[in-house]
Amino acid sequence: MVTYLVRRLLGTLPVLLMVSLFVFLLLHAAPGDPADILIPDQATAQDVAEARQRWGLDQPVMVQYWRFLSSASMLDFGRSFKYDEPVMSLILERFPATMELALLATMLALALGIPLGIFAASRPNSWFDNASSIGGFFGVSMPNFWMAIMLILVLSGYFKILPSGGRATFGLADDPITGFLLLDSVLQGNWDALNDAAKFLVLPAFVLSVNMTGLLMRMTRSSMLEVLGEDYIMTARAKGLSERVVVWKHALRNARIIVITVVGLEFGALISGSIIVESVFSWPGIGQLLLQGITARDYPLITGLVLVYTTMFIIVNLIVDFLYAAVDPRIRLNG
Amino acid sequence: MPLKASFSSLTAQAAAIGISMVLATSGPAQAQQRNRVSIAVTETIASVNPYADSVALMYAVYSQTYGALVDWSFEKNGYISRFADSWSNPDNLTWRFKLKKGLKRNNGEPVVPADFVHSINRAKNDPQSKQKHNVRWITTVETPDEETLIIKTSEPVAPMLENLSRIIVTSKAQYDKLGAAADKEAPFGAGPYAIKQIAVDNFFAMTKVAGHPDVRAENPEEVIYRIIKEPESRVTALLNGEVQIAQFIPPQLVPRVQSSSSSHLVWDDAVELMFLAMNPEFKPWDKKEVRQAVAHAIDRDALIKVLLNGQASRLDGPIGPGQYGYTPDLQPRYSYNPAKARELLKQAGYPNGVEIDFSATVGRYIADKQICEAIVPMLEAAGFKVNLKTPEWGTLWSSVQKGGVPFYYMGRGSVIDPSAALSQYFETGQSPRIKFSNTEVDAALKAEREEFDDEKRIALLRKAMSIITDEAPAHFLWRHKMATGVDNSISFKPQPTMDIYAVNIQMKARGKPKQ
Repeated sequence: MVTYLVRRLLGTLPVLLMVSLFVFLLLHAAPGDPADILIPDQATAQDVAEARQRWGLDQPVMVQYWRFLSSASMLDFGRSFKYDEPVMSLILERFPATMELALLATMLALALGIPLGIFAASRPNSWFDNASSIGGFFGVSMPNFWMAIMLILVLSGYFKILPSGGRATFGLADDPITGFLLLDSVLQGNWDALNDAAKFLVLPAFVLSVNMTGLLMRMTRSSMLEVLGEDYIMTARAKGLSERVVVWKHALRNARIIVITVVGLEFGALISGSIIVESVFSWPGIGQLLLQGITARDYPLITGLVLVYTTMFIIVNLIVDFLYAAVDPRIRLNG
Repeated sequence: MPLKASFSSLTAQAAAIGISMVLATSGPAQAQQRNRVSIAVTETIASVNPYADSVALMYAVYSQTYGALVDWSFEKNGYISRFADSWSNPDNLTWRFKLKKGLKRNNGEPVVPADFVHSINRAKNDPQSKQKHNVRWITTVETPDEETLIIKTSEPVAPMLENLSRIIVTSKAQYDKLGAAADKEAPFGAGPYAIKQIAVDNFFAMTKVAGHPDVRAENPEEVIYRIIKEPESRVTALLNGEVQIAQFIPPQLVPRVQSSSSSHLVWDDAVELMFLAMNPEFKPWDKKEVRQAVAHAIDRDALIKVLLNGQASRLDGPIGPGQYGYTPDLQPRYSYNPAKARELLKQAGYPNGVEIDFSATVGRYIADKQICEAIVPMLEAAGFKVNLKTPEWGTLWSSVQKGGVPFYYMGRGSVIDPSAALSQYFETGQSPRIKFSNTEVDAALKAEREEFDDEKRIALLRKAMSIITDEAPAHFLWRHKMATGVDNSISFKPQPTMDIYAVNIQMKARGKPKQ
């Protein structure tokens, strides 16, 4: 297993290299010069030239790329043009906000999607099955920016039960320990801050989870339906096992692979989907940071963030591979 | 294998956490903290370094925390200063300020003449500075005694005070002690509010300085600027009581605020000029008649009435009421006259019309894409064959900055004294955005910068504006009437610059204000 892990980790290097080169070249080929965008309206041509020199934009593209690659190999993605701070520190500062949101959205999707899929499969063609199928389609097809605005209008604007955006009420939380506000509040025993942070999390996390919930529900239902038709399930029922045990213990166990696959793939989509959700909810995570970077043509920031997104996607899929082996004894991870 | 065994229970646990989260959070959204005002703004906060930002929001924020050398007062229609009793020009290259005595920062530290030298030097030399253009004419800064500050410029710059209103006065002593960390660890200013916390791209919090001469009891104790870019979220946050002031309410959301019992709208003409730019380096814009045809082809009043719901003031020239040098008598004026536009096109040698590219901004200004889409049939009625282009802002702006866009819709903000804006767009060699060149305009703009007598300077500005209007390298459209949403628990009147100063906010008992 260790050999497998090492092989997979080494395999990520060419992927990251290709992604970085692709992003770097694409950014430089795209119209729009960072100096024109970031230097103020009233600046002189000399100010613009100085900025271009300071940012290394006066060098050939491949020289710029080589410099980026050399420092990126030491986990230094350079300085952001817009913020004039190390890209890595900007990412680390905002990463917990995005991860907190993504993890909660994943938990919500698991909590809703899997049980709904199981119940729908155990009562095929019932009203519940039909309703949850429609709900699943709704979740999969609904654009999250539209749903976000609708929920803001209804739950924040009309019912006034949840905040419309932001991450916390100013002044309630103590100094951060991990940057994960829920966790920090628990560690510090600050229950007001915990309640406050939870309120701010509900809407964005729910919106972010909807797509994954719909997909999970539909995939769980279809894989459960397939498994429930197997001979060993008939045998289990013939043995007199309760339906609960048949479904939750015998059937679900064999449906897990597909669920894990969906969660693994969808987590990547969920992280990239957070860009829109963070923007609508003014959530101070790396999604918003990427949007700012793109608007400003902040090459180091964009490239650094894309590499972080890629790495996260690779890591999640690596975890998925290990989970396959853990839940299905037929699968072996060989080096 | 624990993972294997725990899969089902993981699902159950996730369900429990999810449900408990939702249950735990039910209840009303957070109530407004007593004596705290939150303001939903749309610009960004890029740094804790007061010289590293050049957006209007941050100039205003730092001006009321650190303090700027001078400030424009709309009430007094002139510049005022919290640091200087008076100023004069011994000659056209010298600005002499008589500094006030006994000024202190909010940590008790005195404001000393060296702070002004230090601040101008930081604007000029700080590696993060985005304010170098404000000090580009300054050659030397001297403090011959404790009460005098002398600034010398490389050439006569009559509108220099506008540049000096952007000089944020920070502490030399703190910078010498802490270096760049002073901006974060010791942001002590002499303004009526003190910096409490800055979260880059998120919020800026400040507290009232007790006993400061500029603050009154009814001003809020704490003010937080929160970045909320999405207009729906901004309005919802206002109606939900999460913020008490929401900037830039777009026309389609105005009825939502108007129908609310908890909030109201306040209006002001923005000092941002909206115009159509025509770059004479590209055909057919090299012909004055073609440019004038555009001016006659566009029905500004209809656009204002239909697409902007009346929320704009038409411009008949580069500037409008309240801006320095404005006169309602500026000539020439362009009426909506498609027949005349067609005639002008014929005179220019295009009897069968001419094909043009028209670049629109998208989401940068109020209803910009819709406005540009509506302009297309107006131009086509006059004989133009229009290709409408809608590039993303970064792409368009970068091309405009390089002089690569022939015809585009654009705004120029923060125009109180139009000198800098007119020079930037219409003076030969200043910027390639329009590439217009006219010796009379150049001479008038140069002369007004060198003229320190107000009346004479205004006459020169008007001369330049009249030629520009006649030559029409840009057709000026309107200034937006900006709607600001205000909670009924406070009273607040915005400024035309749309800067929000905490000393202009007064707390009051809840209730709908008398209209």
